[in-house]
Amino acid sequence: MKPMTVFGRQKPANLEPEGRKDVNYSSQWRLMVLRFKKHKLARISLAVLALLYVCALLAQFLAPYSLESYDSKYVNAPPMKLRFVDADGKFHIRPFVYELQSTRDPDTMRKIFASNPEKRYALKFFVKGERYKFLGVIPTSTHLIGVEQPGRIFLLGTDALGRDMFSRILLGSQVSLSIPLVGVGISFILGLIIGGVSGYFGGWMDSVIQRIIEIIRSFPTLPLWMALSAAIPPRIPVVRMYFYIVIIFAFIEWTGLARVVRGKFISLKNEDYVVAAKIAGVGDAKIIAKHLLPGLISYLVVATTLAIPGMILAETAMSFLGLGIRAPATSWGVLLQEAQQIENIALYPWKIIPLATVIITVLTFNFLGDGLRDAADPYKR
Amino acid sequence: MLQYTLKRILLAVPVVIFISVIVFYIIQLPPGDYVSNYAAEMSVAGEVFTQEDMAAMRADLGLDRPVFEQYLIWVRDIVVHGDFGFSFNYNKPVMAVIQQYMGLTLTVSLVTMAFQYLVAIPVGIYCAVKQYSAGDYFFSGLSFLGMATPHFLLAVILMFLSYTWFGDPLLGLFSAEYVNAAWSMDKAMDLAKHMVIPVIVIGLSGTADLIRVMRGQMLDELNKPNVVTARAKGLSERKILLKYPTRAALNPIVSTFGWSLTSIFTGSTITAIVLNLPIQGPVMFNALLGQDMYLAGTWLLFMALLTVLGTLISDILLAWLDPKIRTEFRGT
Amino acid sequence: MTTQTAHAQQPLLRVQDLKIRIRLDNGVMQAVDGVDFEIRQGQTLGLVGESGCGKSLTSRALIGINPKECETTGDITFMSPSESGKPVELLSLNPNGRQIRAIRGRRIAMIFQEPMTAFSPMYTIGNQIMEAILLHRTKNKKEAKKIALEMLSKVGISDQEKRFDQYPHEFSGGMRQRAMISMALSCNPELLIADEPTTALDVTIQAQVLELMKELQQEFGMAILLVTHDLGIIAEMCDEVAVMYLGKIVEQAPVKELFANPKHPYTKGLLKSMPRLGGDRSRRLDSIEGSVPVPIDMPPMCGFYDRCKDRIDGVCNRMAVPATRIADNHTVRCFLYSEPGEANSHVQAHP
Repeated sequence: MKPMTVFGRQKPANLEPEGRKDVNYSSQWRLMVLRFKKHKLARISLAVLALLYVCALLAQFLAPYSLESYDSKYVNAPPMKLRFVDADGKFHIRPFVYELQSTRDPDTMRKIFASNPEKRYALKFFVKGERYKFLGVIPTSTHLIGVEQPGRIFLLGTDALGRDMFSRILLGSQVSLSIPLVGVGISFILGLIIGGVSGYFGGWMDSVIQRIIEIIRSFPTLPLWMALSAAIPPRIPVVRMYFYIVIIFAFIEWTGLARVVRGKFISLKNEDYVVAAKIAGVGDAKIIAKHLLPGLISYLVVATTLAIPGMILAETAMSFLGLGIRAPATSWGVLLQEAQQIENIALYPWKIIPLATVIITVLTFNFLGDGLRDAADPYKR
Repeated sequence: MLQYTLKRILLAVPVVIFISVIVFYIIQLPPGDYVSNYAAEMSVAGEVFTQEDMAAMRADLGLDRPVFEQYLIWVRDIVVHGDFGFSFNYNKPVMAVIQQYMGLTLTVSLVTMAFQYLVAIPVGIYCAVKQYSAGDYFFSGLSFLGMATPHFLLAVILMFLSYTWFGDPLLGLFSAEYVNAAWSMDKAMDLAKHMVIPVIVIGLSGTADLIRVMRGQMLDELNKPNVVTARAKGLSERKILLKYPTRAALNPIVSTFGWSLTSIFTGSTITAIVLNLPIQGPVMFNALLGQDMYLAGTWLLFMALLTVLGTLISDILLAWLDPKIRTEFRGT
Repeated sequence: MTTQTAHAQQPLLRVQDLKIRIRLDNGVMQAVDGVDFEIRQGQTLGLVGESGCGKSLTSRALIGINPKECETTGDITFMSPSESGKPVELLSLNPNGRQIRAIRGRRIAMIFQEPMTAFSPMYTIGNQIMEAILLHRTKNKKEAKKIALEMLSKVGISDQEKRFDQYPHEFSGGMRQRAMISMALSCNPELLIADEPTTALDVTIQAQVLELMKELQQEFGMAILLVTHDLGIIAEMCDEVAVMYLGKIVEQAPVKELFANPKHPYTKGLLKSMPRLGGDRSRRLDSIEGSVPVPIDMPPMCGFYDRCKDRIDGVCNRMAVPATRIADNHTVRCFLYSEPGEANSHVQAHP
């Protein structure tokens, strides 16, 4: 339960029956959690995001194949169906896939695939496959799912080089999901420090910082991204490329957060309770820590959450254009490059699947941000 | 009012100068220069460029001078001669390249802008008045989806749909037979037909955004006491809605006019590349990649100018629309 | 101008068993629970109570301008002397329909607590005053402006021509409330509902505005429903008082009677918490302990039970309290003055 408000008027609620009393004296955070729990969509979004991030973390284990593993026999193969019932109508408790056989279309000379009901490959768990390091540390070759050699399993089809889309989407999510987090994290710190200095101390420092922010913001973001991304030298190590891109995103994004922090600092600074603390002789550091930050953090969390979708979309767009993440590394944007031609979509519609993951991620971050915002605002019904 | 406008313009000048410096610096950032790119291209074609050839070409193009000197020359030419430099790629003055594409770019941008506001304002009002109705959920869902979909892919999907339904992906802005034809009614119709997909795609995220802003503003305004006052006077609901909440909610919306044009200009870039539209975006994209530095620089400068101008227009519009700010000027 | 004496005792508006329920996430709130009162022509009725007791909702229900979430039942009968004597049942009218709109602003006008937010910042004061005049009195803009300017001068705003074209933010708080009053009175209403008209104003300005309201009441002969939490204003302005607590009227009496002879423990508490001129300055003001409960899923009991010094355990918290008439014009809703089960002492039988 939240404090009752009717038409914006706060009603005292401390004469409620016993047992509900705790609610009335809960801390700000407890109230936020309670309000957040009421936001169904945000709760579901949080669960979906948690799932996505766990999958990204365990991607090497969950994916049947590695990023580079390809099979030229299966170029542009369609997704395979997991089946329980075979061609004879017999039910199998263990799901299986049929082998794919390729033939050539006599007219177009294009490769076409058909499943061969003669050859079944049962889905196996914890199979041995390519070697990798579990969580980047423990060397192992166990993958969650797979089929017996020489069988292949392509749950979401393959790309133009015969690489498994399912594995690549999972592995690509490591990049696509972490770039916005790291980028926002950096801009969060930058924004908090610079915006805080600007807002709390004001004066000439504030004016200088504001002018700088104004100038950075005067640049339209997209061309700036393009220009900066174009400046990343080609053929550099993946880690450095990743680092560059994160820096570029953070460099452009922090100004927005700094503005939020500054505005909030200025308005909080003049709140009666802060002025009261000042008059009572409380020091700057304590005022900031005790009175300003708690009122600010919730807003920052919201602003940050809402900044993430933009970064995901930007990363996707840049990678799609070949200006962001580049092969051999992959991200959802890189995967979508193959969906650029309409012929590809017409012939191999599964190549658009990474779009779904992008949309789901962006939507869930948006819903989560909305939920957090509603929860953070104590005066909202 | 006039004084305020002048002051704002004067304040914008140093920003623009600063921006032009940064722009020039950024263009220089990518490794190599136009000459080395050109040489690489030529060597693919089998033509060998020696170091001397390259040096001669650099001297010819003025690329052998220090960067700041190049910058000063560039700025001097802009200010003195209105000359924005030479596009190496197109082998034409930068202005000629920009002029060639400006007409269609403006057309697409303005139509998109009109589309955004004409759709977003009524839908936003509707969603606020009928909060939590099926229609509200429908439009809110749609606008969420619009914000979450990368528009370049939406472009591909719409093209695909148009191809399967009408047998024509509607690529570009003109059908082949009209590209070089003189303007006629048919050509205009052809253009209108081809603009449907770009306008939807480019305008979608802006529209989605505006719907949300408009809806939020309206919800705020609908709960204000001045609505109750109006009701107590005996006004009809329709009159109240239009005169009070809508008028007040339009303020922040109209003030987005300024930067909305800029964001359409730049936001259309990727879509234009995917849809192969003959507008600025792709041209400048290639200029950036190919180190066609004066063209790219001019474009970045234009964009930054447009953003500054947009903010300026927004501020002035806001000042003009808000009685609180307006009366300040009247009094003094 | 003759109305006041001629029709002084004629009822203008009668409210019977008014109930307002609001649906919330965690239950249904009974915000107003069976309110009865009557306003006579030219008379001033004060509705007094703490924030959240339902007095504002009650006053707004009279002209049907509460938000949609409020379910309102009961009878509100308006007997306008000018409407060919035919009583109108206000609650039965479509809340957005033509009939009720012809009454709003024209027959029953309202002024609000916050004149800053009650005016739209987007339009000039003149524009907003003229709106009601154009709607109810004349279609001629020039004439409407003339009436508006006249009204502005009546409420003591000088330099009306200039003021007419100014925006609300260019007015001071007191001036805005004057403008608000001129707007409400511009159509010569028979009833003026004033919802905390002076709460947002400085004390000196308060007195001026109240004085102005009194003068204008003399001149126009309208009745006033004055909603306030300030007993001082009640004493100054009203003929009769209704004390509201938690959605119910707990005591109702002519103003002198109420101040001289308060019966309900809540009324007594309110009066004791008022500073008095010439009182002992070293004495602390009394306050009523506790605060108002939220009326969600309340069992039938006295809403003041938790805070009452004279409560009767097993009675006050077990059943609903009926209203008892203890003297002419003086009713009170308390078991101290009626035996439980003494149904015949009901003032108005509830359906």
